[in-house]
Amino acid sequence: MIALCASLVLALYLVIPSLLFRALSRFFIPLRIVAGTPTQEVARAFLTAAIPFLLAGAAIRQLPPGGAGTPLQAQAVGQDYKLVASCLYSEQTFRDSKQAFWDSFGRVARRQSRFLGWYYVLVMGEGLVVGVLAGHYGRFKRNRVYSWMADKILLPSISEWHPLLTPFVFADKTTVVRADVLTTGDNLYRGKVSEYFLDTGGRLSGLILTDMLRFDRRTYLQDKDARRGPDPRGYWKEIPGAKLYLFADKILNLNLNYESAEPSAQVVEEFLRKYLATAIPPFHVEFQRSGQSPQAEAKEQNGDIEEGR
Amino acid sequence: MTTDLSKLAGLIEEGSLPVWLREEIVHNREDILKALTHARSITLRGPRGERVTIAPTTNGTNIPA
Repeated sequence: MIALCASLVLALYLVIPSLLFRALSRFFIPLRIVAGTPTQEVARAFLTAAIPFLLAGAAIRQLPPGGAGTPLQAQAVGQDYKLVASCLYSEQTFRDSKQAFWDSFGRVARRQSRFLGWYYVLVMGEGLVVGVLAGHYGRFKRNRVYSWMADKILLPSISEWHPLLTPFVFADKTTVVRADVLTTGDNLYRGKVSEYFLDTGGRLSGLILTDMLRFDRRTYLQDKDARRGPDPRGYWKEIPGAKLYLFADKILNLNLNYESAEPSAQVVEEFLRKYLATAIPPFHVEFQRSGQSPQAEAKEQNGDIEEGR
Repeated sequence: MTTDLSKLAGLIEEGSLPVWLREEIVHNREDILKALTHARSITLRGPRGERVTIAPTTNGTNIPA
């Protein structure tokens, strides 16, 4: 009987709240990206439940009906719990108490139902808040307090693949993640990362590329050997098909690029300073989006350069 | 994940340029250097007509774009 009650208590006070929390927070952040060990999962369930549990306890103490009441009433409530616990533990006590057990049990059940009502609502509220905060990492990450919370509380065990393969860390969610993938067959593919898959251990099991190209390495090497001065940008060939699935165990390395519609001038300047790596006069960068001119369309894959004063 | 998310985010954001712009910068490194050394601006054009102008600042400090 005790084991049955313990299971019921565990389900009502830990498992169900944990499920409610996850159900709400998953609207904003996919759960599969949180890769924790079983111990971490249990610890997280306790931490998730702790605040709503304490608040729910405070709520039913303070709010009518059934507030703390007089000391005598509080003592009666305590006696109800003692009797119910004793009867659940000992069959003899249960037989002796007869109707008193059921009266106390009714009062305890009503009180706990009220507590669980508050508790579940608060857990769902917590799930929503945590989901919103975690899901908008890109927008809030500049805030120091938020950044610390995300590191230590909100997303401490996030799978590294989610920030790497999605625009999760960018405020601009239209940012495209483009990958150059070198496979074990010595093929080099380039494409937009459309989807990725993790196994149960949080390890990458595969990814889907769209708008994919394959680097014609053989022709490139031939042209290079023939000293034709090949430009590597001209050796990317389109692959027929809409999506390319790559198995993770065939991937040797990933070269990732994150392309927002309008890269920030600061990022471009920092890259230039680092890449040029020499003493250059101070400069600034201006970015101008295009109206898709026909000339620009014609230069679909390669850029162009012009100089001015 | 053994590193903090904030560190990973910083790493990801650093140098997050479109491929065409990265390739243009790499391909035209010498031209960019030459232009800036001679106090000239240089414009890189993207596949969809985007224009990135790298221009010397006259007052000795970088002007935010």
